[in-house]
Amino acid sequence: MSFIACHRTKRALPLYVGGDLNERRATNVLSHLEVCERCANEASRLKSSVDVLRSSPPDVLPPEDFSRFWTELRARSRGLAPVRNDGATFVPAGAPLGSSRRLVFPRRLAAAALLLVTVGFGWTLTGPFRGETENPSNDSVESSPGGTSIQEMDAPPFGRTGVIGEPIFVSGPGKDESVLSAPYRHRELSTPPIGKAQYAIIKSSPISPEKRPDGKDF
Amino acid sequence: MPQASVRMIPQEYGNRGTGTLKKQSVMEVPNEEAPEELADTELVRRCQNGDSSLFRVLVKRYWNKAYSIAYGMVGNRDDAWDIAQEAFLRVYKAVDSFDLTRAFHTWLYRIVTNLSIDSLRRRSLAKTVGLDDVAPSLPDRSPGANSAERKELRLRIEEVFTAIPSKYRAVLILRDVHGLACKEIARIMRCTHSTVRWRLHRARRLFRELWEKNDKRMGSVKS
Repeated sequence: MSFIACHRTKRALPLYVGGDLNERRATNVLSHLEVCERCANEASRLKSSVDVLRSSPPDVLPPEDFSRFWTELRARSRGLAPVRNDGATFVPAGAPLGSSRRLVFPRRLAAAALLLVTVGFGWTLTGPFRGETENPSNDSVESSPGGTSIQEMDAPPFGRTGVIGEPIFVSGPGKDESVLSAPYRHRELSTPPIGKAQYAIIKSSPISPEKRPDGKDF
Repeated sequence: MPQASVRMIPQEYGNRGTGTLKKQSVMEVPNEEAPEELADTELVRRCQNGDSSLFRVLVKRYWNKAYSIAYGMVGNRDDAWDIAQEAFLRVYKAVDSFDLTRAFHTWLYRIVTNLSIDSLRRRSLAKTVGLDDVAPSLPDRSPGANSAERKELRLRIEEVFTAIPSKYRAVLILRDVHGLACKEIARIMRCTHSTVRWRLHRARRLFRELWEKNDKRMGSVKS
């Protein structure tokens, strides 16, 4: 008998003895076992251990225990802690035991606090209040008689209104009309927001925020 | 086959107020089936519609099976009892989200298996402080439990099971003790059919090795 045939059969034996192979493979294994004594011996040992498991009936409770099971289940569903017949109170199976149970709340609390701090930090960096603190003179634009100033035009007028991932066109002194694509979108987010008055002035300027510098729509 | 009955309803339009009844021939209402005879899906559907009294039927149908699987996994009657109850509590809480196209028992057994694995994990942590010794275990009240041979066999199997990792143990219990199909086990354990077959292969080999070792030890003790 070839070594390969024995090797293949031994690999298939645990499933074969439990009847978990398809008919074709089971026939192949059986035909090998008829001629190979060593594999047949291995198969019989495996079969006996599987038979032990299958012959032992599962542990079940007598039917009269159901009323107790149901009563306790109802009590637990109402948030009560019923007492077992051995005197011990129930510990929910899903709950951790001992001191680890006491640690659940602080851990969650710490995670929530960390999340809040992170969100708050992100909000201060990118939120609308940042623009107000960095550029408090938004209102003064309204009163400037000369229209759009260079400083106002420096910031892309559609800075915060652009769609993330969309190309952003920037024009202004010292900058060519260029496209800031997705890798540069952090620049867009870091630009200060513009006020309504500023936006109205820019909108009336030759370069409209809805138009690209080359005249095409965004 | 449920028999259809014809219901008489008051006529709302036409000869209103005359109190005459007409035959409701279009809408034939089937006789109410006994809840015990309803399929799992139908029971769950009715529970979802607010008839929570039928949940008792579901519990009655599966409580012993849930307990039995849990006991096979954890090898402790108290824990198995708690796990079975916890599983039904979770089912009750999440019954509204149950997908009716799936099998109910697969869902329940998955919860039981996961809770059992959790319990084993917690027990392995708690062993250092000896929590297992706090309360005595429930007595074995299963039918035929008094047979000495059976008792011994069960103890030996439990002993061997403790040495098998939980994911292999679960497959072995579901397939060889409870006779579930590999595809069903795959759905319960949320893994592929091939994974289940591989685990079954490993588990049977492991069990064989440990069983033979146990056999030798018992033989040497007896002699």
